[in-house]
Amino acid sequence: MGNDPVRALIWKEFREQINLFALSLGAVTLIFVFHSIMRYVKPEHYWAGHDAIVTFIFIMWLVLSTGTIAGAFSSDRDRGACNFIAALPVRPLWIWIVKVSVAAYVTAAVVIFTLLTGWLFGYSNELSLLLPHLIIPLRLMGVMVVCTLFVAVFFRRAMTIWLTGMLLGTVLIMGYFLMVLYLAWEPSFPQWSIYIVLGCMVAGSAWADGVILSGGLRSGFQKGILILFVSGLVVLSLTTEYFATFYRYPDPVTARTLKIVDDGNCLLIQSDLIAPIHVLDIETGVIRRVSRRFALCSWGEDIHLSQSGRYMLVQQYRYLFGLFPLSRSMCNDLQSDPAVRAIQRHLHLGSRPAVNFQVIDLRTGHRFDLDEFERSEAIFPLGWHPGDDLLICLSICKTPRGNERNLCTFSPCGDLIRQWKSCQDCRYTLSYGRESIVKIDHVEMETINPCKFTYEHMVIGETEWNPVDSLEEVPRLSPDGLWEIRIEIDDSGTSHFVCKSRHDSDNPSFDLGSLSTLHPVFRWMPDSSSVLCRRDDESRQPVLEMFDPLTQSVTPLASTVSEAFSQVVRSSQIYFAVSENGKWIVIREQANRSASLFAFSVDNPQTFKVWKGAEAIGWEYGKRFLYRTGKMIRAWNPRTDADSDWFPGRGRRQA
Amino acid sequence: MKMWIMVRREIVVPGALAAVVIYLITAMSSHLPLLQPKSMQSFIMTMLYWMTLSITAFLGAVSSAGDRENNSWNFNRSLPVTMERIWTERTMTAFIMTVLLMFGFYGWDPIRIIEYSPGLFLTVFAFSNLCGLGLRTVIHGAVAGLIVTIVITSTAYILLEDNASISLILNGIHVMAGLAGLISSFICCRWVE
Repeated sequence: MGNDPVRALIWKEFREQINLFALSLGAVTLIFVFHSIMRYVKPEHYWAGHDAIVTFIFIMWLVLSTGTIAGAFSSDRDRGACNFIAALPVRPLWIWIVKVSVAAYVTAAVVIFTLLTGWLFGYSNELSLLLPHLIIPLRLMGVMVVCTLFVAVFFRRAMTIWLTGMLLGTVLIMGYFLMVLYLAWEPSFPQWSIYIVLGCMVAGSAWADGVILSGGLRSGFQKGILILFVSGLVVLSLTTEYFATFYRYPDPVTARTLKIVDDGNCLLIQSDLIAPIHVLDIETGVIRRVSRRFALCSWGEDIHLSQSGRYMLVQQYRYLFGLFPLSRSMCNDLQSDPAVRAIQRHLHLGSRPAVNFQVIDLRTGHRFDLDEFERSEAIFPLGWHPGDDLLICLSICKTPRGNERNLCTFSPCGDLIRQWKSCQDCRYTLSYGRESIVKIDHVEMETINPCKFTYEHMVIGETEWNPVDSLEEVPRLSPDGLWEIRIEIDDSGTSHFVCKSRHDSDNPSFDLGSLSTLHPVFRWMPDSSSVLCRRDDESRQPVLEMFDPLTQSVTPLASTVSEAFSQVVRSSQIYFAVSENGKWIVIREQANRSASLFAFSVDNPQTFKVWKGAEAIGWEYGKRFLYRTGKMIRAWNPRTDADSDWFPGRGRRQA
Repeated sequence: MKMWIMVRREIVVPGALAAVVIYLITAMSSHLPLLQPKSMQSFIMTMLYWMTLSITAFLGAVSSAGDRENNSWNFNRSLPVTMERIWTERTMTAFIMTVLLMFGFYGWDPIRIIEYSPGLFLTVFAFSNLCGLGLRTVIHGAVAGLIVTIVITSTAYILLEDNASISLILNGIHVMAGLAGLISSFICCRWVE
């Protein structure tokens, strides 16, 4: 076999693809040029078009790859040039290789050109994030191409090849996608069923191959295609995680979770439940990925940030190749422990959880894995200690005397700081009914609620004590750790919320109200100077007050501003966001799916501002309040009372 | 009649396969608690939308590139009619089929018409037709038509994303671009070799 016919065949194939190739390059350049111009002319539209660009690249690559493959196989047949090709002194296998290779080179050239052009036009930051996203379209493209190749052997017409290939690919991908999603959400799903499904698919492919082979294949390259198809199925089954994590660019305007973290320096973004968590530096506009896919950052009511807001607790689901859930390998004694069962029930982990807990440093991206335990010990995080960045965990060990439960605290780097050993002279109780774990010592009691992640430590002497539901709403320690709010029972048996200094025993405690108060909400000011409290007054009307623990004075806030404002204060679901200097407070009212935000000054509560249909994000480092309305992120500067469109990278300069 | 034969032999196999796929996914949806019914409905509609769009692209490309690919372009030229008339007859036949296809997709659901831009069909059809004149093969014409349509849509989206009535304006842009593509194709058909 000479080389000339092969070379001629290559040039022939390339000439047929060149027009489409040139069109694709022009389209890519046009889009990047246009978006760059728009970004320069209208900088407030910073986010506009990111979705469009990603969608454009995704669809173009997909359409182009299947088009080049299908075109390579159908054009000769449609044109009646098959006889000419067959007459060439080239083996059919080489014809197949040339056609597939040229189509692959053309597609790869467009992909590389897209990335290079994006980099040249200053989209390097976006591209670094887009690359892992674009791996998914690439893999998707691979599946589509394999299916199109498979179909191209049996069908002759362009449209039939195209549509049948696309449909076959869609069926395969969606089947795996749905299966993995199901597993991700239902870890107790019996794992053997996935093996049965996989086995059926492989057996089906083998059967199809057998039928076709018994009928006799016309050429060697058709056998190659079939082998490729079966191999594609195997590869697909090993890379399903990527199809299941069909996440998008972490666009703040459409993200599911959007929170200000790390003292207002960063914006936490998670597009959807199974997407990785990203952190956007407000000052520089750089986005970093801080978690893997399948990281659950909020369960219960809120995301679980440490006191400083720098560290975050997440649940990380684990899969081998994205397909086989990796269960915790606990021994049976631990599995049957009531405490383990209670926690697993609270967190909906199932009997063999494929989840582990991680502490993420949002500033550096370092992750500390809590799952590094032996088979005879299990550690479950219960929550962050208020006042510092320590993580409280429940450790359950298997001992010859039975299971031993200990409370321990970890630093965010994973160092064990302190462990409270349970011993014979301590009474130790796990209270499952109230969803809390109570440890009673001679003089101390600690209640930890694993569901709501609250922690209470109080000295009660020898008195028995029952956990109180409303206690869960109380932030215990002040940010500086000098003050605490706790419950005391007076002579008449009535329980009171009391604010008391933790270090100065001479300082008298300050009564914040009785426990009969409905839905009390307390929030410490960032500088620990005072407590913002929403409670009922004598006439059982909710009021907003500020308590100063030093002077022990009470300042009513905004009680008679307007009926609308009073209604917000009376709302059962209340959200406060206090500015860094404690001068401004934003309250959210949630009513019938429409949220409104109220902002007012502590010094002059008569003046306030209302944003209807807005979603609170938080106070940024530049001391502006960010909120999301529709598809825009806006920033409110309380000093100038000005609202403006917000986009990252100019936070400090604009403020 | 020729168009009908072409469409029949092209569409029957993938159409039957599509029906099976949609049936399977619909049947499977009731067993999947993780996907809300609305999400599943949206997914099926998106799949249907892409299929309809692909078929539209092929109809547009077949009407202009089909004869060239089958080497019957010279036969067309030897007919005692103008190229414009041949173009009009072939393209309008394909366009009528596209409209029927669109009716099949939209039904009488006004929400579906708002959600899935009907103007996009005209744009895809027109530019597949135009690209079919320039690119020799049907499949390359259809792919090029789809890529040009994506470029137009992305450009309009970047420009108008913050506009409240973006879907309405996008529809208008698609209709205008589609008409421009059809007129260009009509003008260019006589010069195509």
